[in-house]
Amino acid sequence: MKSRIQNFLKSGLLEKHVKGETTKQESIQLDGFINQYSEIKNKYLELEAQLELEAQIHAVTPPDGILESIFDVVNEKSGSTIKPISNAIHSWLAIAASVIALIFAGTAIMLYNHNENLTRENNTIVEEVFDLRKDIDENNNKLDNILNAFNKLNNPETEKYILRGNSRAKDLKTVAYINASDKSSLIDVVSLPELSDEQTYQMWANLQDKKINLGTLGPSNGKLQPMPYIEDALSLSITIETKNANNFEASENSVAEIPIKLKEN
Amino acid sequence: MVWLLNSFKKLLILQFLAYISEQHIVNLLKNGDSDAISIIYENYASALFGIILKITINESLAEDALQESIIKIWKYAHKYDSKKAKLFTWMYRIARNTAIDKLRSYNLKHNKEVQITNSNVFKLSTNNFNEDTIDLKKHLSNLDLKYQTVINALYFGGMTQQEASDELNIPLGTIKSRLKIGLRELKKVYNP
Repeated sequence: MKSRIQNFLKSGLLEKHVKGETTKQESIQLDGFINQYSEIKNKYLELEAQLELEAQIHAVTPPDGILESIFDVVNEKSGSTIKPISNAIHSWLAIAASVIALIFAGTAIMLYNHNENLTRENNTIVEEVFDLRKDIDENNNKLDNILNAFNKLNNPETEKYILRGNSRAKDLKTVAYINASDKSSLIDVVSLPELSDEQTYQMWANLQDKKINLGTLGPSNGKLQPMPYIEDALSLSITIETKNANNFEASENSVAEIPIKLKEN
Repeated sequence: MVWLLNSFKKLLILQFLAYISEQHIVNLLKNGDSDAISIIYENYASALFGIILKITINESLAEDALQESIIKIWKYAHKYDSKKAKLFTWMYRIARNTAIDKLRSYNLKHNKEVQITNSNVFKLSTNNFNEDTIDLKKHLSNLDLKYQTVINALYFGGMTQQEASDELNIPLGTIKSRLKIGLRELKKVYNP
């Protein structure tokens, strides 16, 4: 029996059967053999596998459009409308991709705006930080000045001189603080009557043989102003002078004067 | 964007094909599910086109024959008997016969002598005397073992790609790439 099977296998009939080259009658007979003998069945299965593998090895990619043509024909015949799965997937993918693209675009715009706002906010904060630092520095300077002034005023060596205006400047009131030990002086203009645009108040240190101009007096708004310290000054005086005048010599212009205590050695 | 879409689409189909077994395709065909057409086309059109082209030589005829073959597969799916042949064997027979009919009809139309020399597309044999078969087995055995294993599992073991992945404990992507490279190497032998 075994040799009969071997002879059958060698006949090439099974190969023809796999490839559909046998007659209908032969095929029926061969199907019977395949079902009856496991050895023949195994060979048949092996030939089928070989056939598929050979076909895949020699596969040639068909040109585009054939699948669509197939569906056109199938639709025409059936009267219904069916689409290639790839087209169906394509449609769904197109919708999904569009939605995703829109979401991305929306998110991108939102993030861009958010980023812009944050950048603006950050710049504002940076500017505010700079402003605050500047304010801190200014406040520290002011504090230093106040502390400095306070120290000077609180110094036992500091003498206080109040200059009051005469009949020409009744409301004039200025306080000078002079410390002969550390050779410093401050002035607090408490009140200053208004003058015409052509006139100014000038501060003088009167020495034995000359007068030294200490500068123009202006409203100090309650702040102490530094004033040059003049050694050996006998008195301090305030005069009303004409602006841009070349020479300040007019003692008749004096509206306030106060003698200064001489330093005790 | 279109390229991305096409790549994604192809990837989805390939992923789907990796899981689908021949029985699934047959069920879809028998139930008249039109998805079967797309799946068969994606999975087998190139193999069938290669067979048809060998017979017709003429590319235009081959395209017609491929279209007609797939329509026949769809139309006559109810006649397919999985006990008698694998799905591919049945489709091969349809494609071969359609190609021969097309060529005959073309030759008659153009008053050419009806002579079909390439109907015997592949030479298969149960013994080792057939040169082509010896070649196929020899070339397969010459491949790197990792490619052989995958091809044997998929073609001679009748496994789906996913089943082969599970059975051989190899990632699905590796199964796909090894199959692709294995077939490419075998193709090089036949078409250097």
